[in-house]
Order: sequence, then structure tokens, then C-alpha cells
Amino acid sequence: MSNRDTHNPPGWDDNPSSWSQRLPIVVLALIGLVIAGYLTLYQYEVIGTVWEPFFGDGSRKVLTSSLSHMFPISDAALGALGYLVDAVTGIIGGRERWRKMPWIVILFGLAVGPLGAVSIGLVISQPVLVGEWCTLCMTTAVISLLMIGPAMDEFLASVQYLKREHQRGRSTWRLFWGMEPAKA
Amino acid sequence: MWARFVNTILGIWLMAAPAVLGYTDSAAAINHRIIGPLVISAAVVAIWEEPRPVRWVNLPLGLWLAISPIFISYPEIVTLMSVIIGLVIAACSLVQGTYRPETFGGGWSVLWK
Repeated sequence: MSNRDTHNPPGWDDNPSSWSQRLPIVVLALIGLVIAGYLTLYQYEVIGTVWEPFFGDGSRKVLTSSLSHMFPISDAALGALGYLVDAVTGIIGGRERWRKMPWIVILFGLAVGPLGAVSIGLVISQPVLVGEWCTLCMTTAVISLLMIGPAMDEFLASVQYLKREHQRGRSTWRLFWGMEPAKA
Repeated sequence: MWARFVNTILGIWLMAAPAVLGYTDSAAAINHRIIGPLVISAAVVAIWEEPRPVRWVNLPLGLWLAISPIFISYPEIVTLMSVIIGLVIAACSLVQGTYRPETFGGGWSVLWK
């Protein structure tokens, strides 16, 4: 209880919007962005080879499979875009953004959650559908997975706030966009 | 914490087992390569206290591994492995560990009150 300060959501021992909680997630997203960007360069033939220490020809086969081109842009490009959204929505706002801008916290939660799910789906697809493994693809899946757990607390704090203030008769729409002043 | 660690390791093993034990071209391999990453995902997300309820995802996944040899033909040694690992995964999903919703605003349950 002693750790509670005025920035914390009501009933929270720590602040999920604090920089110490958000920065590690942003760093993970940036690492993911670099790796996915590198794989994108290979998929669009900007670079001719791709680094693969364990699975021989695996990365090449996975990254050139029809599965990896099932979307309008390649799967690595999609991943890079996702990590960019994660990093941007992770960095915007201050220590009270769980209350002052719920829309960005909820967007952040949705970007981290579903993107993680897509990465995991792609890792499952590699051995089952393509029959090959890809080291850097799995690395990005691990990065996506590690981001989900620590991002959920802030998402929870924002949704708790919207629910609580809605029950007090305030407009959820205005709260969501941070247009309601802090309660007296 | 240890329960999530055990399930993560078992999930990784399920992904690697078809290649290590040599049953890559079987329905058992497909099953293990799908269930493995799902078990890892649920276990890793549940390491953090707020999303700890996600551990429950591994209960049906573990039970499915344990009974899947009834529906899918397995090499004999793999049958035993799947049953044991499935039961351990299910058992570990029951371990809650430190979970104090009172330190994070009452947790998820306040959202549907």
C-alpha cells in the first residue's frame, strides 16, 4: 500500500502507465520492428540472402512460401507495421494515460494482443503447412509473446476506469477520448 | 511461476519432439506442433500477475493431449508421452500462484459487475 501515489489508478499498488513498465515493451517492439524489417527486405528481394543458423534452407522456404504472401503485403511487412503501431502507441502519453487517454491504451492493448496472436499462428503454420522452420520468424513470435503479458495491466486499468466512471453516470464516449476532466 | 515455467518447457518440447523422436510425418506430429505453441503462449502470458487467468487455457489443451491418442493414431512411445505430458500441463494450469486482484483494482471480475 505504501507504493501508491497519486498517479496510480484507484486500488492499484503500482502504476501500469509508468515509464518503467512501458519502456521495456517499447524496446521489444523496436527490436521486433528491426527483425521484421530485415525479413521484409529479403521478401521484397532488396537483399539476396537471409540469416539462418539452425534450419538450413528453412528461412528461405518459409519466407518465400505462398502462406507468407497470402495478404496484400508480405507477412514480415505486416509484422513490421504491427511493431511500429505497438511502439508508437506504447510511447504516446504520460504516466496518467490510463485515465487521460484510454483510447491510446486500448489501441495499444489491441495492437499487442492480436499481433501476438498472428505471430503465434504463423509459427504454428511454418512446420505444419510449409514443413520448415525459420529462426528469425520464431524470434519475432517470441518477442510478440513477451509483450502481451506486461501490456495487459494497463489495458485493464483503462477499462476499469471507463467502467467505474460510466457507473457514476459519465459519458463513456467522452471518457474514452480523454475529454472528461479528472473527478474533483 | 514454476508452473508456468514447466508448461513453457513442455510446450517447447512438444514442438521439437516430432523431429527429435522421428515421427514428423504423422498426425501426432501435426497435433503436437499445433498444441505446443498454444501451450507456450498461454503459459508465458500467465507469467504476469494481471493476466494470470489465461493459465486456464492450458487445462483443456492438456486434457486434449492426454486423450488425443484415442482419436489420432500415435507411435506407441509417443502415446505414453502425450498422455503424461498432457496430464502435467493440465495439472500445472490449476496452480494459481500469487494472485492479488486487490493490488490491481479488483482485477478483471470488476468489469462484469
